[in-house]
Amino acid sequence: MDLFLILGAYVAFGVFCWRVIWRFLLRLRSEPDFGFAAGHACGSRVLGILDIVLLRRLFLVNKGLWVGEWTFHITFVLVSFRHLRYVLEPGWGCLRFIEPFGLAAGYVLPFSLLYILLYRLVLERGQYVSKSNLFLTTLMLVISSTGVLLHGYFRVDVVEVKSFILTLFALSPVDPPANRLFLVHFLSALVFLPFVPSHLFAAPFSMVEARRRETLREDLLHG
Amino acid sequence: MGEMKPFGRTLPRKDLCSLDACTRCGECLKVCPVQEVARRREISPPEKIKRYREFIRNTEGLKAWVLGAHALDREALEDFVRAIFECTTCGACGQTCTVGIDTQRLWPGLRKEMVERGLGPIGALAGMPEIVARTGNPYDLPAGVRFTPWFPSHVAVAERAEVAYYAGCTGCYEAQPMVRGDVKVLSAIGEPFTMLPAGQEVCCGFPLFITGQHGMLKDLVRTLVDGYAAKGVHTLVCSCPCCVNMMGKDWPLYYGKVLPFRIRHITQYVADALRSGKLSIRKSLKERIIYHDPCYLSRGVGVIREPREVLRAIPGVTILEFDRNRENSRCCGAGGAARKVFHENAVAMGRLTINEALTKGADRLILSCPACHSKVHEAMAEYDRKIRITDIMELIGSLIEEP
Ligand code: SF4
Ligand code: SF4
Repeated sequence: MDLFLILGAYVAFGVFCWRVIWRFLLRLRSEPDFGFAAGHACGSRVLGILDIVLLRRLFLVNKGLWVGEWTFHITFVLVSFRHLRYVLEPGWGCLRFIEPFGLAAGYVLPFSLLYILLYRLVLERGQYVSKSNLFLTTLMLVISSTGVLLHGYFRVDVVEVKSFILTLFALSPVDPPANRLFLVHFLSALVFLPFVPSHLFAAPFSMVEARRRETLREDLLHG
Repeated sequence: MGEMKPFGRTLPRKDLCSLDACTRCGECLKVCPVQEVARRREISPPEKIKRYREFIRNTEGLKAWVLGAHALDREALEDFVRAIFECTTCGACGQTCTVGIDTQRLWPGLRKEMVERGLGPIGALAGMPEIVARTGNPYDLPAGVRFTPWFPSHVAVAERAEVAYYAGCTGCYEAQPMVRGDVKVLSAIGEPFTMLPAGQEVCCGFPLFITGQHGMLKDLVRTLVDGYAAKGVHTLVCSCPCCVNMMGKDWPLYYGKVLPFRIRHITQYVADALRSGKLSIRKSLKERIIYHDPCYLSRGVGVIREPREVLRAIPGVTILEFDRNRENSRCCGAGGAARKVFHENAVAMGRLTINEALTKGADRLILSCPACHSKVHEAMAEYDRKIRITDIMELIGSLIEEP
C-alpha cells in the first residue's frame, strides 16, 4: 500500500506537471493574436482583477450559485495556502498569519461544496450539468471532509505528514503516517491532481481580457 | 478517417486561452437562442468547446506525442462543423459567460479553422466567395440593381464629401425600406454626403468573415477603404450592424493600418443631428413601440443609447422594452449566416421576438438591422400572429418633413 501510494504520488504529480507544461507549450506554439488593438488603461486591468477576486460575472448571472462558488474559491485558496506548511521548510512567516483563516476556511469548504452540489442537482434540476464538474466537486467534498475529520476527530501526526511530504519531494520517501483517514485524504488529493481543471490557468486571463474588451467596445464607435 | 493536422497550433492564442477558460458552468445555455428553439445539447457552447479541446488533445496531446496523432472520427468532425454553423454568433453566451469568453469572435474563429481544413462551410455558404467575387455581393444579384430599385429620386449624392453612406448588400437587396429610410433621413439632415458607385460599393466582407472564408477580405477592404479615402471622406455612416462591426473591428486589421475615416452607425449620426438641431421630428406617433437591439449593434459595438435617443425624439410615442434588452438582447434568428442553412431555427427565433413584442402590448416592432428586418418579416409571413415591423430609419424617414 505504501509503495502504491508513493508511486501514485509521483504519477499524479507527473501528470499534473505534464498538463501544465503542455498547455504552456501549446500557447507558445499557437498563432500570435491577429490585430494591433492596443492594450488598455491599467484601470480596466484593476477592474479585471476585481472581477476575478469577486467572481463578478457569475454574480451577475446567477447569484444563488455565486454564494457557493465564491465561498468555495476563497476557502479553497486559504486552505491551499495553509497546506503549504507541509511542503515548505522553513515555512514562510506570512503563512503563520493566515493560519487561523485557513483553519476556519477548512471547516467552511465542505459546506460550500455541498451547497454547490445541492444547488446544481436539486434547485437547478434540468439545467446543464457537466459530469466532469460533478466528479471534481464530489472528489473535493471527499478531500475537504476528510481534512476536517483529520483535524478535528481522527488526528494525524502533523510532523509525520510533513516529513512524508518533504521526503517525497526529496525523492527519498519515508512511510506515510499510519492513519487510514489520512490515506483516504491523500489518495483523493492524488486523484484530483491530474484532473485540476484547465480553467484555473486560463479563466483569470479571459476575465481580465473581457474587461479590456468591454472598454474597447465602448470606445470603438464612441471614441 | 479524419484530420491529423494539429488543431491547437493554428488557433490564435486568445482563442486557445478561451477554450481552456470554459468552466462548463452551463450559464450560457440559459440565454442561447438556438438552444431555446433546437434544444440540442451538442450545439451548446461548453459542448462545442469540449469537442474542440478533444480535437487538440487527440492531435497534440500526450498520447499523440508518444504514439503519433490519431485519426479523428469523421462523424465527430462533421457534427462539430454543423454545430458551429448552426450558431447565430449572436454572442449572448459570451455576454453571460461567467469567465468572459468572447464567443462572438471565438465561433467565427473556429469556423475559419474548419474551413481551412476543408470541413466547412456547409450548404449554400460554400459558394459565397465565388458569388462575391463575381457580383460584389453575397446575394448573387447584379450590381446594377443595387441602388436603383429603392433610392429616392429627390435625394442628391455629392461626388466628394466629408460624410459617406455605405448602404450594404443586405439592405440593398433584402431590406430596401430600411436603406430608403436611411437616405431620406441623411438628406433631411442637410449635410452633403457621398456614396461609392454601385459597382464599387462591394460587400464589406462580413458574410465571408463570419463563415470563415477569409481569402478575399484584404481585397474587398482595400477597394472600399481606398474608394472612400479618394472621396475625401472623414466619417463613414452605415446602418447595418454587421457591416459596422466589420468596419470598426476588422477593416483596420485587413487594411493593415488605422482607417483614414471614422465609422458611425446611422443612429449615432442621427442622434447627433437631433441634438444639434439639424434634424427635428415634428409629426407625432401615438403608438407603443418596442425596440429590438440587434446582437452586433449592442453586444458587438456597444451602440445602445443612440437608437433609444432617436426614438425618444418622436413626439407622442411610448417606448417598450423586451425582457432581454440592450447588451442582453435575444437574437431574432438572423445572425451568423445560420439563417441561410438553418432556416427553421431562424424562423422559430423570429417568432419568439414577435410573440414577446405582442405580449408586451406593442403596436409596432422596431428593428435596426437589415438581416433582422428580412428574417423577422419572413418569420411572420406564414404565422398567425402579426405585428407591424419597421426599421428605425424607415420610421424616422416617414415622420420627417420632406425637403
Ligand atoms: S453565439 Fe448565440 S447562438 Fe451561438 S452559441 Fe452563443 S448564444 Fe447560442
Ligand atoms: S458560461 Fe462560459 S464558462 Fe460557462 S459553460 Fe458557457 S462558455 Fe463555458
